[in-house]
Amino acid sequence: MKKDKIVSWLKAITAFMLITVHIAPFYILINMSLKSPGERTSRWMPPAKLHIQNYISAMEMGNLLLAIRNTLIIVAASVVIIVMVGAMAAYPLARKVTKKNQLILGFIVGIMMVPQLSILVPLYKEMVSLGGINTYWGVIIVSATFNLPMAIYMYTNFIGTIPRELDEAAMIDGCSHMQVFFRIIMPSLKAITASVVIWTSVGIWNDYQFQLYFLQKPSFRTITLAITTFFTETKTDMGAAAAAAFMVVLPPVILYIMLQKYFVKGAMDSAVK
Amino acid sequence: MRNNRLYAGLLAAGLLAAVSLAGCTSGTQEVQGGKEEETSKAETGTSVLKGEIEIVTNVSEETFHVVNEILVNFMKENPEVKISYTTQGSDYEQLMKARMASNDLPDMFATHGWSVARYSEYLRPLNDQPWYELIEESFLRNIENGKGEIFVLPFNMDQGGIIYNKILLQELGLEIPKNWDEFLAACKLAKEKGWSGVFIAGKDSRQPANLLDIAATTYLISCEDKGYAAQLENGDFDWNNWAPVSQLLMDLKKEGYLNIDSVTCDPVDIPSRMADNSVLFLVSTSPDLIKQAQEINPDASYGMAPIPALSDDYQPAFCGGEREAYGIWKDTKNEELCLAILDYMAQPENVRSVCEASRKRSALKGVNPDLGTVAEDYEAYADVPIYPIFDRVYLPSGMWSTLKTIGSAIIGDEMTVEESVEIMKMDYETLRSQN
Amino acid sequence: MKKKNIPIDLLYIPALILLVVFVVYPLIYGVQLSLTNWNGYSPTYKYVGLANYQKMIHDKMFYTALKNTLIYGFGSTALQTILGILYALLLQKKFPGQTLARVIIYLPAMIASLIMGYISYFLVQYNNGAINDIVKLLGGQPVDWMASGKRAVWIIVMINVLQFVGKTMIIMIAGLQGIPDSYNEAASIDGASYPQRLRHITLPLLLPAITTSVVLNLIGGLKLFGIILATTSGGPGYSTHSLSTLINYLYFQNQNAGYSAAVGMFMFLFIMVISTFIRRVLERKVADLS
Repeated sequence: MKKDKIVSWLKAITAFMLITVHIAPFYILINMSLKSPGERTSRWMPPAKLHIQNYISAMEMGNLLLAIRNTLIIVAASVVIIVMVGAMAAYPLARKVTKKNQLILGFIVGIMMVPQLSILVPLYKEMVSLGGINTYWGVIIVSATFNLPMAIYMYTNFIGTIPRELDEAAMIDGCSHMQVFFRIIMPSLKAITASVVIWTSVGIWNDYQFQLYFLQKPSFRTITLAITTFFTETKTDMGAAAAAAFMVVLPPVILYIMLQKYFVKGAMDSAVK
Repeated sequence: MRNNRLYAGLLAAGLLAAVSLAGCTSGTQEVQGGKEEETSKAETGTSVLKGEIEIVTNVSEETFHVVNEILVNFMKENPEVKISYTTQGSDYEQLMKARMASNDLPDMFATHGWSVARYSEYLRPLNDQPWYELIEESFLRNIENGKGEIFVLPFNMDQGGIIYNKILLQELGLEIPKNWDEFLAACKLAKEKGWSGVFIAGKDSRQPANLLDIAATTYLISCEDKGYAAQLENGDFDWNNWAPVSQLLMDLKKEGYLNIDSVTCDPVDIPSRMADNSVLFLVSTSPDLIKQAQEINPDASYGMAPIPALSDDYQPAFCGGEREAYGIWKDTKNEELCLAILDYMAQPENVRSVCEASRKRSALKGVNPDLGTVAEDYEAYADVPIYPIFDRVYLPSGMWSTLKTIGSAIIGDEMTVEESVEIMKMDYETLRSQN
Repeated sequence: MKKKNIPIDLLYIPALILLVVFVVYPLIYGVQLSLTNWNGYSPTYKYVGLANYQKMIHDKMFYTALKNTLIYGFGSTALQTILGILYALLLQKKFPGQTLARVIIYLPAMIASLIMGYISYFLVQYNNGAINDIVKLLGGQPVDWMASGKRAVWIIVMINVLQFVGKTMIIMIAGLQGIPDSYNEAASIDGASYPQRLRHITLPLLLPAITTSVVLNLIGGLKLFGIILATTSGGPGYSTHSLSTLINYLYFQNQNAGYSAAVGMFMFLFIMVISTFIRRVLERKVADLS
């Protein structure tokens, strides 16, 4: 009907305005990445001529391909650990609601609030004595551990929505807890896992502090560290940094678009208790 | 069926984890010095050097490449030696602090001006080295601690003064100011023309701190007859004498001689603002900015001049200090190898290439680098005395951050001159008693 | 044949081990640090008891950072929640551009904080800043936006909201999809207007989603760090510091690791108390409804 159509178009216009506002950061980023250092035109104006050199410098100086490979390894391994350990931990916390377990859940959620900075140096010292500096496993374990509380929080909320009867039926049939977990729970967690995957992947992909401290050798350099190579003591190559930042934001964006349909469904199920 | 997919997934995860672990164990950890080094003397007295060491620095680009070349050449001459040379850029200081805290330092590292004030507890004194004699005498006091020990091989020196816009100064019909009164008068004329007298990128608190630090050279130190230097070292300095330094910064801000966004501008923008040709002066130790501005706008022409003197009774001066310099971790397992590397680095051609890449003067004698455009300025002022950078020698360790605090508070209109004097005094006494 | 059942509680042991070893242990070490006068790198330091905490109580910089932290936390959360719900309501049903809007609104959350910070700097800088360009275009005078501490704090809040409102929106859309259409239809048949339906049906049923997003947003806002560092570095002076940036400043710039650790301990407890309190309040409301 006519009213619906008007509303529909009003929505479209509002949405368009919102899109313009939210895409501004990207627009500025791409703009900067295509301008030569001397060009001092307004940030809004497109470059007079495309300075592709920035992208070439970004690839070469930042050694971007190596950095992407390193970051992929770290993100993939960390996410696997987060999902497995986190979901497994959430299962008893959601199913067996005892006072002890309530406390443990509270404790785990509390850890979410520890600022990375507060424990950075003691953690660094600990890692040195464990021999974890300049290794993949060091930064993977630390990144995974730091994202565990959020994953456990979300999984615990969601497992609560899976009917207990399913568990009980399976156990009557003779399944152990582990089997119930792998056969019944995990498959139903596909949607929420998508959310956890995208949120933690982006977090670790963009992480700066841990990667800076734990991966100092050039062969281990990750994406965020590659970008900081353009910010030196004496000079800053903003164009190359912007080019690197743009190339580097594409994989998470693509991942997000791919996971989007699971993602919305997953967040819902976790939020609705 | 569901099981199989799940187990396959687990297997894949396990493989991925295994691959990552395998990847990490194959990388050698060079942190603690690695293999033992052996030296065997051949009959002619030369030794064969062996070992793996780690060297880190914070410089990038040209200076980094040049030092890297030097080390590559060293490795060519000593095939049993493996050196890992990396730079951490602007995160260097943070990282080094974490490494010091864990007593996990590289075998050699750059001290970028802080060899005495910060790193000396972890460095091996180097007075016994053959190249010690080569260090310029006037420069020695920049890298000596109270007991006369030095901890680094210095390549070049930071030289601080004022950077001035040649074209704008000519337009104003002025000469380079010889004292602070002339300086402020020039700023006033600049302001009338709509230019910035002095440019400060105050978002980084090191900028206003630098101004205070450099100005203090002529306010307190080069006026030697006042004896402030000795008072500061003895602890009986009257802090009311600091007030004129703070007042300078305060005046620059109050009279509007600074750029409008002095409080919020990021140093990233300095070269492009200089290139706009609307800046008359900068108070800085980075002559490199001159070249950067010219790269953006070839018509932008700046030069380096000494710090204006306190008054007509005194002479302008430069301040200078350690810049690219390398020391040896006192707990390294490869001491002989590191000493050999320092010795190699100290050769004149090597020092010269570092100076030319960084466009800074040499700290060692007998090196004659070609420093490009700044060379004329250095030539013209060859006889101007160079005093050590104020906070590194005359203030207890840790007061650089006090300068940053009061510097940014003054330009942010959050502190009076009297308050800044109080804070300087308080921190001076606290930090002196700690050290 | 019944298999021997391992106690279910064993399943969270791996997580606990990781958390204790890599978070709790360093945290305890941080407590110890807060009782010293360590400068962050020297091999020696002295124990000073509670001196750092006493200093904290009298420190103007600390109170400014504390106040700002509350603004960053609650300000961001309030705006994100309201805008998130509004965006979700707007983008809930199909119309041309819906999917595109959903994707683009979320995109800024993917940009690393360091880069987002610099982009923000280029928006707000006085000279050649993007916002000032628009102001000039409209005939106004350029403003040095970040020169006033109070104004700068709210600008930072808005940048934070811009970046992360997409996350809240996603949770709210999911929550809305969980509300059966039949409720709204029945209510409008009974004569309820849109605002009435919103207040009595939609919002209460959205409460679980609101709880989750408020808790996550609050914690994120209270911990805000990267954007502040890149746009103002805590300045002018120290007027835009949050507790996070203050901790960083004290440790690395001010060479006062002991004091920094004390502020860190306070921050941890502070965030814990606030978010637990908010969580309990909201969860009780949810329980009341069901």
